[in-house]
Amino acid sequence: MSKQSILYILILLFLQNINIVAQNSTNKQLDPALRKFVQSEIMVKFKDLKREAENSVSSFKSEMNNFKPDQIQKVKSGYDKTADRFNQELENMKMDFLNKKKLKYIIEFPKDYTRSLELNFRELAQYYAENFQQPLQDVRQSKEDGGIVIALFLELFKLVPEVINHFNEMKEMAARYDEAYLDKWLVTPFKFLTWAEIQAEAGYNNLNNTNTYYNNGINTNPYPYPVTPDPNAVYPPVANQPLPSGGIDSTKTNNQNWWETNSTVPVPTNVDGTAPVKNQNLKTVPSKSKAPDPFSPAPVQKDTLKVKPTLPKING
Amino acid sequence: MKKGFLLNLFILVLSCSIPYQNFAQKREKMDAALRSFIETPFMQKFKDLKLESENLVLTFKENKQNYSAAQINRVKSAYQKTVDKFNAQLLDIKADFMNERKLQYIQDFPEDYTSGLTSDINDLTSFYQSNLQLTVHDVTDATIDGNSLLTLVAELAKLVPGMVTSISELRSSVKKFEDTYLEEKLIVPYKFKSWEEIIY
Repeated sequence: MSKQSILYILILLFLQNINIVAQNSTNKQLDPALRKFVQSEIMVKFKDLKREAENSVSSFKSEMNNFKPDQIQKVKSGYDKTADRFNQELENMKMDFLNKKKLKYIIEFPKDYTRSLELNFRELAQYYAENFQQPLQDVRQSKEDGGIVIALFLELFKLVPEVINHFNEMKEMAARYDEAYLDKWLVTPFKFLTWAEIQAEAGYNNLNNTNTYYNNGINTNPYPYPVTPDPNAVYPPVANQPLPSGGIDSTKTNNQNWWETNSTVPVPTNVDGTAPVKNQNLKTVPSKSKAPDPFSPAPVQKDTLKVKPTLPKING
Repeated sequence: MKKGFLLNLFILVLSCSIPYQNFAQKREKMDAALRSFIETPFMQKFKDLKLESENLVLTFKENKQNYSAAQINRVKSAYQKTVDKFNAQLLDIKADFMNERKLQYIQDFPEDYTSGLTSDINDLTSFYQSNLQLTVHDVTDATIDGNSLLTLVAELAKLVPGMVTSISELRSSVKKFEDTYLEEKLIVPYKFKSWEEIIY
């Protein structure tokens, strides 16, 4: 065998090894210390916040045809900015786990880290209120005070100090965590979905919604607009839509729906301006990124981080 | 013999002067580093805050004939509680200056230290508002509103990043500071006076 072919084989083996290592890191089971952290109260609250925000978007999407494009854009950009902030915080947490020097400092000076995390959460709360909650309330003309979210944030602040205990428990195992592993178990399950990934609330979907630009992935029905409306259908009243003073429907100008007068929005030819119909054909498309469930029952306790060599089966 | 004696004397003088020279050099370095820290807008604002709060007490004391003993005690206790918090913050900063590892941490992760300190200052702001300001406002029927102090504390939080940069810079010339030195140069001039110490 020539020297060159030996070199090729070596390179091939090396590349294969890299691939195996990368696969192993994502295939590793959730280790007990990290499981304890992702199941801790603070992370549960974080997940609750994520759900609250996503549910608000989902409900908003199902009534979206009642709003003007600029109003929808306002809520959409507010949500996306807010989700980015929360996801950044998760990324920062992940980076802290990966930075050995930082981990050492966190354990040495826990108060500093706690205080810094607390400030970050307080800033997130403020950001959420100003950039997502407020525009949503303004657009819906709703008087909801977002009490649930405020309560969740308050509980989150109180739970910050417990994070240090988890860092302490994880300091030995953390050396074995890599980015792909933490992405799988820490980031993906808690990451806020993007606007486009959130489905409209099931049960009631307005198929007259022509704002497909803002509504990616919802109208999977190939025939979303009925040619003739069903005369027997009973339509629920549109929620959260008090008419402005004077009883004038601001979404209509000159007896036309706003979308008929707004040239910037694509209007399908078969839009007849009828009342919303019940969704019957909409399929709920599962989210693209299927996160592992860190809340599933813990497997039999063993050191799952140890990479087992996969031995070939010998028949007979 | 005389020569030998002179040589010994010379060596003795030289060896005695070396520690002194080292001490002087160290002191010079500490002076330069601490001076740049003390000149940061954060520390200047901290001093303004101290003077302003002492001034508030002085104004109140000048008019104390208008208030009952119970009212005076309420203000006194609110002031004392508030300045204790501020002084504790100053002592925390001093402790960080004396901890070599902590200075290293600040240099390595200034954002974390900045967030932590900002969080502390925000807490001080809330504490001031709900204790001293509220009590003074209540007792004096808003004659003294304490708003100027509130503005100063709120501004202090914004100045934290610059102050932290200064700490990480001074770390490159001084590894850690001594207790007595910091007591003399940092604590005594910046510590908030107690109620009894404020006299007109």
